[in-house]
Amino acid sequence: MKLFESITIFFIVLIGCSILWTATEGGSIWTAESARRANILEMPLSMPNKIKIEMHNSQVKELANPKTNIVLIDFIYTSCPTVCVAMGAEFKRLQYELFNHPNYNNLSFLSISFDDSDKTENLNEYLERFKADKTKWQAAKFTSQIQKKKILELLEVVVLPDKQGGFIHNSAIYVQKNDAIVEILDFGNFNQTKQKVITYLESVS
Amino acid sequence: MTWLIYLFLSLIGLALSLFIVNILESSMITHMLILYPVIIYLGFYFGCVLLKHYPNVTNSWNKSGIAGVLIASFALIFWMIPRWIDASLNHLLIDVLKYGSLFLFVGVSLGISWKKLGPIAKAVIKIEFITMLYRLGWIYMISPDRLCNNYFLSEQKILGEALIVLAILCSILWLFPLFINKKSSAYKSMKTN
Repeated sequence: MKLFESITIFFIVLIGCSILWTATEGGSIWTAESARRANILEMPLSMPNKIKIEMHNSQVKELANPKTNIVLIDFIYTSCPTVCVAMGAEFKRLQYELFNHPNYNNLSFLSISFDDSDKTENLNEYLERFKADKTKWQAAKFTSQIQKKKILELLEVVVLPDKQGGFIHNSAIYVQKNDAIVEILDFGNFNQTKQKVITYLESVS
Repeated sequence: MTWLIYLFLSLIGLALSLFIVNILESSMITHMLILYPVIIYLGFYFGCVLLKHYPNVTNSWNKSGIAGVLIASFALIFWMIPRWIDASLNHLLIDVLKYGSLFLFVGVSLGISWKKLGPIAKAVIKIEFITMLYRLGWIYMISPDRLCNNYFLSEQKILGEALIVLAILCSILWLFPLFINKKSSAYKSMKTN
C-alpha cells in the first residue's frame, strides 16, 4: 500500500504543479493586468460596431471607425487629480516628440471619459490643460451606459469608485490599429511607449 | 409537505449566503481573512465528521495524510493568485468553482488528512503556514502595484499588515508551548491553580 500511496503523491505533485504552471502561464503571469496585456498581444480585440462616442466638439463618432490608422486611447475622468493628469502629460509629450516623425499624420490620440458627470465642457478643458492639438488629440464620452459597460468589460477596464467621489482604475494606454486594439501599454514608461508607437507608425506607412 | 418547507428554507439560506458572500467579497480583508477561512473551516468540519464515521476513508492512498495536505496546498495556492481572485470577482461561474474547491479540495481534504498526520508532518505544515503568512504579508505591504484590479492599493497594504499580525499570533500560539517544560513543578502548580 505504501507504494500506491507514494505513486499517488507523485501524481498529485505532478498534476498540481502543471495546473499552477498553466494557471500562471509558466510562472510569468500572476495578475489580471499582466494576463490581459499578454492576451491582447496574441489576440487583438476588434472594436464592436456602432459604439457611439460624443467628442469634445459634440460630434458623435463611432469607436470602430478611427480617423487615423493608429490611435492611442486612454480612459480618464477629468476631475482626476493624479493618474489621468500623468497620462495626459504623457500624451502631450508624445504629441510633442513625435511631431516631426514622417508618419505623424497616421497617429492620433483619444481620451475617453468613463465618468458620467463629465460634460463636453469638461472634456474641452481637459484637452486645453495639456495644450492639445485638437485636430490630433480628442476627448470623448460614451453615449449610453450599456455601450460603456460593454467596452469597459471587453477591454477589462475596472473602475472602482473611491470614497472621495473619484475613481480608481487600472490605467494604461491602448493602441488601436485600424479597428482593433492590438496592444496595451504601461503608461509610466515613456521611452518604451514612444519606441513602440514609432514601430506601429512605421508598420502602417 | 415537510420537504416543501425544507426547500423553502434552503432557498432562503442560499439567497442569504449569496448576499453575505457579496458583502464579504467587496473588501479585500474580509474576502481573504473572513470568507476564505469560513469556507475552509466548514469543509474541515465536514471532513472531520466524515473521518469520525468512516475512519478508513481514503486510506488506500492517503494513509499518512500527506496526499490530502498536498491537494489542499495546491488548491489554496491557486485561489490566492491575484489573477484568479480577480477572475472570480468578475465571473460568477469562477466564483462558484472557487468556493466549491475551497470547501472540497482544501477544507474536506484537510479535515480527513489532518488527524492522520504524524507530529513532525504537523510541525512542518505549521511552520510553512507561518512563513507563508509572513512572505505574503510582506509582499502585500511593500508592493507599489495593485495586484488585484478589483481592490484598492490601500486595502492591499492593510491586508499585508493584518497577515503579519496573524503570523505573529500563530507563531506565539504554536511555538510558545514548545518552551514550556510540562513536567516541571512550576507548570504543574500553574495548572492546578
